[in-house]
Amino acid sequence: MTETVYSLLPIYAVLIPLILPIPIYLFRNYPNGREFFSIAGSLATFITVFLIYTKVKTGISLEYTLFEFLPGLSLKFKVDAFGTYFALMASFLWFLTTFYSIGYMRGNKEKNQTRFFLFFSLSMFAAISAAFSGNLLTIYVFYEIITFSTYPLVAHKQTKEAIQGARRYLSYLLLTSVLLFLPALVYTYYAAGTLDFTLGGIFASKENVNKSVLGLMLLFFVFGSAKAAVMPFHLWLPSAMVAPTPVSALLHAVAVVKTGVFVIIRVFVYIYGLDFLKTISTSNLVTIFAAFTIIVASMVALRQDNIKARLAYSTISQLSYIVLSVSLLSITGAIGAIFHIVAHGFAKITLFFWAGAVYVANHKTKVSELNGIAKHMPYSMAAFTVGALSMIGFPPMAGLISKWFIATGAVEGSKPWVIAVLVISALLNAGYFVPIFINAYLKKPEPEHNHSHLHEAPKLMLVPMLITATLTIFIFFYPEFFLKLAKLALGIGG
Amino acid sequence: MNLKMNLPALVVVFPFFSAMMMVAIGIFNRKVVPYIFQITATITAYFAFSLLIEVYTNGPIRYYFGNWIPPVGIEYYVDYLNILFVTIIASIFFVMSFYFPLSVRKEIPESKSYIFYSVTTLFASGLLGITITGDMFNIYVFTEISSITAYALIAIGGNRRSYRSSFNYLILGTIGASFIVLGIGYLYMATGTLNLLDMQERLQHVYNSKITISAAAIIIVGLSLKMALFPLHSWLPGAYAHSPSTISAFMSATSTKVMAYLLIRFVYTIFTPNFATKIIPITDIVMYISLIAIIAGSFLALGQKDLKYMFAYSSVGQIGYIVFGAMLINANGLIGSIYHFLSHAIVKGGLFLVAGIIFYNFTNTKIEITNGLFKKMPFTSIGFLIFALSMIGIPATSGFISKWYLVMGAIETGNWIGVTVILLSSLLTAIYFWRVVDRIFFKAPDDDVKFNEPISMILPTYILAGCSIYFGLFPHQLVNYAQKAVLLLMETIK
Amino acid sequence: MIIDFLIYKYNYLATIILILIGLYSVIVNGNLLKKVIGLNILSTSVILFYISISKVSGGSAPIYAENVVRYDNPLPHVLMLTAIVVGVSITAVALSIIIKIEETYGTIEEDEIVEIDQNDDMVDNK
Repeated sequence: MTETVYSLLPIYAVLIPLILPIPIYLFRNYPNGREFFSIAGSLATFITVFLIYTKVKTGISLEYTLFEFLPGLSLKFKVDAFGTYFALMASFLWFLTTFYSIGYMRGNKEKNQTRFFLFFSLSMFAAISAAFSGNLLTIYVFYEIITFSTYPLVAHKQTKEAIQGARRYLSYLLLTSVLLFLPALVYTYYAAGTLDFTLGGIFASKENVNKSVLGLMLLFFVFGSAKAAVMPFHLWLPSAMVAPTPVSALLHAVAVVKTGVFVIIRVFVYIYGLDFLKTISTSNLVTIFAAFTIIVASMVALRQDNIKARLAYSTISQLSYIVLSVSLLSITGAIGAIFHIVAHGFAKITLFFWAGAVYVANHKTKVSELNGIAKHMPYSMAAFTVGALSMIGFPPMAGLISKWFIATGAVEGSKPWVIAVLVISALLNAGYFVPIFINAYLKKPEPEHNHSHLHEAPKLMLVPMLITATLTIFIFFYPEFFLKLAKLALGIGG
Repeated sequence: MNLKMNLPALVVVFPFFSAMMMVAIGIFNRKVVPYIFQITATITAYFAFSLLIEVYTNGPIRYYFGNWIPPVGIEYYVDYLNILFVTIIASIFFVMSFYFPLSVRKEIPESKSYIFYSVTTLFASGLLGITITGDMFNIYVFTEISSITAYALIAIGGNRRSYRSSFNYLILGTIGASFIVLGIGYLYMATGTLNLLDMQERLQHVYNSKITISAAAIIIVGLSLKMALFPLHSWLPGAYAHSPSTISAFMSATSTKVMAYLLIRFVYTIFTPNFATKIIPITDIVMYISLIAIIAGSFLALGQKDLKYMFAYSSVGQIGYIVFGAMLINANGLIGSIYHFLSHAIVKGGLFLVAGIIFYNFTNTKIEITNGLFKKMPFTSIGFLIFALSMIGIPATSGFISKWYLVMGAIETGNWIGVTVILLSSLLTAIYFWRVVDRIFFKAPDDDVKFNEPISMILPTYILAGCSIYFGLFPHQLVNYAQKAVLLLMETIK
Repeated sequence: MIIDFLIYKYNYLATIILILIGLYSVIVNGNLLKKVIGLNILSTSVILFYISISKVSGGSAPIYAENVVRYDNPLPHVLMLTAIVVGVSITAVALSIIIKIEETYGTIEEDEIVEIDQNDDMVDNK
């Protein structure tokens, strides 16, 4: 069994991004100083999280109770393997994205850059805190903070379109979390008397629980955590694409949306417990909804001409892989779900980095405008290729491994039809990425335009992109690093 | 020692006499009156806090006026419930007293200002009297003291609409008060006593009497009128919108809530839940009315074009929360209700203070003038944001705690309609506040005139904002107090 | 039964009728002064009610005297003294507000005031 140790480390890890806005604000008139703090802060956060990792991998979990929030219910951090796993990925990618966003913001000459970095840091504070949360209430608190701290980022351009998109973003996330998640949360507390994450669930030992209500609450949790974008509550994600690309890359491909699925996995594995869920029929419904989302979102993605919209629908579909995988209720499926968080995270951030690079360097936002672009941006396109192939599930990219686990999990969970979903979805994924390849590599640029201005992205953007692309391949060859944590999180191996 | 013993009387009597003094002194020297006002508010708050500590260390106090033992004499009865309310009112009075001088100089003619201060103090002492007294007729007298002063204070607002609003309030308020006194007459007829606890004792034998039943009905109607429970709310928006900023802030924070306190007092202490749920279903009826009030208030607030009107209609909805929680006859619901009393007093008071600062600079409070307000008045805008988040009920603000308990109470009693309504109205609240937030933070200002944000107005606003966050983060102590109060109230159920 | 009520307890009936008259005139009359008069009728009816419940059958006025065994209950009378004061002060406030309304609106008819306010709103919205 894992032992629990009292530690201040998680506090440091979240305090850094929390107080980082202060120097950022103070240096608002000195961009170089401001950016130095952004980089230093994100690096410090990553190092702290890595320190936590070195402790957690030995099988202990770190705990720190902030204070008693309500009688019998406290706000607390409890860092187990799963939390570390998520925080590690988020803080590492934050570090990379910081460079990228500096390149993007400067290359694009955006206004209000101080506000941008300030809220970026706050969002990461909330995301990492959510990863470290020790009970469902704490995670809910930070879940809402993420929603509000990302709002200024989505509305960053302050155009009418941006504000409208941001409003839809806010209203979807708020509507679902308040109307579905909160009652489910309160009911859980009422029924179980605790909200602490416990491997195997908190209901298992309880008798006289009303299973039909709990089944309904499971659906409330899944849809209430709308950051996971399970249809029909997915529309906020395409609207959020009005945000600057670094935001879309880190927050809407990694931190925000992954918090959504993170919460769902927490609920499945640590609140309900996989075994207990086998007695609740609505978990099948979750599988069906997720499968539906995978297929339909991919089909919608086929029709999007805007690059970011296409990527957004691809994200929706990929997120449902994770939901689907955990709803299979088998250990292998759960491993697949956890692994896919990282596999998709690295691949999708690469793709978004690429989209931002194309926009900054050449001001192109549509798939149909990409003709012959590979000649001018060879490195970026190479990174894109890696990311896209990982999405489709080609070896040797990380995406294949998670798909393998999901398929095995489907057999174990006796839902073999899920494999068919995976196959169809892989084909559809290919369907919406291949046109980009064709346009970029094979087609000739249209002659009437002057192409002398087409060029490669700035180095500050290119390097992070190449790193994430390399890591996507790297993970395929050395998945053990992440798999070990995933297994630890589920209480097997160690 | 003597001071300590006489605290219950002093809390009311001190501001009462001080108000008289203000007029007497003001005739000769107007300049000192604001200082006297300030000192009065401070000392009253001090008395209230000492009383709070006294009651929570030594238990409820029964204070006999002139040592006449009830039922002959008048009694001040301070238990865990009303001391909370007394403290809230006195502290809000204290915090706002800093705000008064500048705002008064702006809005009230110099020659009348000393009377204004005096009447305000009298108003506060009336409210304190209502909460602290243990004698039924005293309740009526204090209600009238606070109401008559309120009519005058609203009429001082300056434009002709304030006269009209004041007159409307006068008519409806007097009808309400007449109903209350008539109901008290019925109760006196049934029991032959006016003392609260005495009456509780004696009423038990006449629960089935028609006199008691009609008394209950009449009193509930009267109270609903005075607390502006939908659909008897028509006096409220005008009264809040057209009174001086200081008065709308203080009134919205306290006056209707005190009537809600009386409702709790009547239902729990005098009639006791046994009567109110079993003999006639008052609590059920009022609960459903309050649900309608919550929804209706939020919808009405949606369509307003003036900040003060918007806040006023939102008050109509918020009073519904307090009533709903109280009418659930459930410990958690009642805690939620008490907590919401506090939370809403802080937040709505603060919002009206914000409106006051805007009025101070713009001499109106139309929503359309708030475009880009953040650039002109950053402190005011951030204050507004904090209050708006608290109104919506975002975690880490006081609004969340009260909603948590209200939802909890509703779930425990199986009242799923209530759960839905409460959460739905949070969303409506989010919509109508976010309209304004968007304007303030994300719209370009029409001109770049910088505005003045006087420290004496900002400080009270921020104290209230700080309270809202403090009670959102550390609700533990206060919830314990409320729990104690609730346990005492619920004892009568046995 | 009803006859009994009418004969022995007509005072309660009178209270109710007065309350209704008061409410009716507050609601129906457009003239603000008449509304205030209605309000006065309403509060007077409450006073009547209190006084009538203080009567003890066979009791005399609550003044100490020899040969008197039963007194009426003096407490409601005392309470009503306060209520009368309250009623007077409300009337005073109401009347002074009416004077102000007359000064600013130039009328004390409610429908005219509403019309003036609506016209103001129309101007505002343009």
